[in-house]
Amino acid sequence: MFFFLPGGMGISFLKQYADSGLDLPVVGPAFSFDQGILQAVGDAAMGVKNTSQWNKDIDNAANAAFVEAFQAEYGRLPSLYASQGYDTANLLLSAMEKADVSDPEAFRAALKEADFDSTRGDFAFDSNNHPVQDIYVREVIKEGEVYTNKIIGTALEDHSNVYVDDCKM
Amino acid sequence: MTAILFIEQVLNGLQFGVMLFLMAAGLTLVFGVMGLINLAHGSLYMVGAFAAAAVAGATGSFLLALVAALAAAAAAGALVELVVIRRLYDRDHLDQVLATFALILIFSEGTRWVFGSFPLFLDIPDYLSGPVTLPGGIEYPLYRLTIILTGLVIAAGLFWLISRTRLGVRIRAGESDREMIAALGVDISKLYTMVFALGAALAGLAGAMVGAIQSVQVGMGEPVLILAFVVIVIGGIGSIKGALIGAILVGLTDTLGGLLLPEVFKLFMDTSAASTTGSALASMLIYILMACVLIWKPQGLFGGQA
Amino acid sequence: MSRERLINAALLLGLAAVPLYAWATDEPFTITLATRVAILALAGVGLNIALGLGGLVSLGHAAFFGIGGYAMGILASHAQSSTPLMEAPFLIEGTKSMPVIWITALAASALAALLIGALSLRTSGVYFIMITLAFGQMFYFFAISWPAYGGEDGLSIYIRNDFPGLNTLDPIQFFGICFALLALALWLNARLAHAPFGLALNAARQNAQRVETMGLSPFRLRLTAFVISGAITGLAGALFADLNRFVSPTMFSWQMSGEIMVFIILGGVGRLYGPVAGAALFITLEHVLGGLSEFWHIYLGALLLGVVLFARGGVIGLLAGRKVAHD
Repeated sequence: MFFFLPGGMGISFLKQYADSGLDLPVVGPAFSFDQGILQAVGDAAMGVKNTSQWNKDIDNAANAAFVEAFQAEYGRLPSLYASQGYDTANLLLSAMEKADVSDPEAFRAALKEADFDSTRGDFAFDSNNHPVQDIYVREVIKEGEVYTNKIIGTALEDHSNVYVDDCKM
Repeated sequence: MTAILFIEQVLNGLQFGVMLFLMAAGLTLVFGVMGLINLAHGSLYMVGAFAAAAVAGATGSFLLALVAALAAAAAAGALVELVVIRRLYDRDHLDQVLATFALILIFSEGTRWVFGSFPLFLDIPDYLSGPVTLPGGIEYPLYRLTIILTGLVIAAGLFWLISRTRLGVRIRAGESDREMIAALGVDISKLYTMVFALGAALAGLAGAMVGAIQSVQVGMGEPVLILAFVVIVIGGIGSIKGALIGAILVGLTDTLGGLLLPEVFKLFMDTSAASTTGSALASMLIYILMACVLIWKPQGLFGGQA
Repeated sequence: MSRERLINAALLLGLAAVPLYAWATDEPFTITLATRVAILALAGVGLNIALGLGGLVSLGHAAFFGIGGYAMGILASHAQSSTPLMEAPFLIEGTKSMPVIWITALAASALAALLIGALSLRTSGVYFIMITLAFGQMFYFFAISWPAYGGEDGLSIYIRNDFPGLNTLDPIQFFGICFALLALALWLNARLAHAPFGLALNAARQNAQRVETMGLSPFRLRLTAFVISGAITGLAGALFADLNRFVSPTMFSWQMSGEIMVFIILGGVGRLYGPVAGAALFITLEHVLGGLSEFWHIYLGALLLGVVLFARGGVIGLLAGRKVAHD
């Protein structure tokens, strides 16, 4: 059974689903199982598989540094939203080093180069400005007292998007 | 769509209605007796839920959590009444709107400051979880039945309070003529604080009970607040009976509307257009209902003087 | 010159001076902030005609704000994608011309206000508040569920619309447009308040029965005020959508209605420049307090509470004295 309900709605759904007695396996995108809401769902989310472009255990230097620094600063594990924010900030910084913000054409080109160390590993934009990245399958586990996700496989490698050939760009 | 689905949704509508009644009862009493529009009522709902989550997390007992919700919300209500609301009785509705709007901001950010920005964990206790088989072979969650029952018991309790006790007499008298009962020697300030705290406690209880099946997060009270206002307007301000009937009406309309309207539209539209139009209309339905009630009966179904 | 007139002049000059200074010192963000103040003040001026003059507490005015916004969004998005709005019976193409969009926004909001007002004005007091809220919510949920124009995701307009002769993407020029419209609306409000219509409306607010015995119909007076009020708020909505180049159902939400009302109450209900003072104060506080603490909403709430409890008549009432004996 697939669902996509982020935030509070996801919490409600998972708790009620667990209480309903149905035992179809649940699958969803990472937004319904992100670090922020997992604690509020508790055991009801255990073992659920979800897909994402990022998880805290992706093995590269940038990600390891990010997770460690985040935990030191905020006392909790980062969510995928945090990783996206961090990547975006780094992307902007990398573009700012190459071009001036007041020159839109040059800045756009600098952004497109995406020359920064992403927490996702290799990062590039495709021709229609959608990222090309790996999509992982994660499972909800419990590490000590904290509910979090663990990568159990790779769903798609270097995946762009379905519309890249149809797009005018 | 089967009969089982329909009956389950009727029960869901009842549960929703009962929860709205808990919110609306407090709101209608405060408005009826004190003439005060209280936008911060949703925040008291949230306070109850957070108190319950905190106590349940610390002690593991759901019952203690509910008691904590009642106590915390009542205390918050009494405090707010003593410090802020007291000064607003003589002011017009606009000032009350602004002041209670400011209270929403303070409560929401205050809760976020104390508990953090992430939703809290609150779950149904094991002895209330799982489905129950009703006559007819229908399986329905035990917890939701508990909510319906609790709400009806509280409704009965409120009716008894209003019609059979001295406090109830004073409340009813206060609704008719505030100045008169002050002249007759009733301590108005204490009465007001009690009514406000009672309303707050009911809201807190609703928040705690619903928080267990939904989520406990900052701002959870706002959507419910608006619906509670719709309920008391439909039912008639100041009337507990109106609040109950209005709440059940709103709960059933919203739930069944969401179920039936797309089905109705499917009769003469294709499935995807039917579900889009149906769900669009379903979400507007309670407001259409309220507008119709007001146009037909401008004081609400059981409303007396405004 | 009375104190209130001086304060009004100071407000208007201040609102013009701040972005001009920001333009000279190359701070485009401040200009955008000032533009927001101007647009929200315009929305407040609209509501104030119904609320301050007419005594109609409409908690659903965001309906008109949203209608104006979506009028802009729909017309501009059709122009963007070069597809016509309607082909039969009339050919209606999209447009990106601001004056046309404004006229459409004004007309659409006025029509909506006519319908909503005709139904709602049969009630009074808190029931009027609630029924206007209901209509606002109806529009909100409708906008969320209508997939053609983005639904919940909203509608993005990539380039600001055109105004003949000006480069609207330049922040100071767009501010100039909004400021001019605000000044026009304030002038209209002032003329209305002192015209026979405004005086009758004010009388109806205080004692409707008396007005009826004079042979005037309070219902018609209020409906007219409601329509004018809705139209102006609709125009503000179109400008707001243009500022953000984004329209979304939240423009219809009750929180938006509440915010517009908060500006007016903050500044002073029934005061001509109440919305301007209120909007300027609120946006400035949002900006300044937001930089001070993560939990700045608490301070904002406390300040608002303080204004309500201790500064009757809003900020202008506090500064200018109780010249207007308003409720």
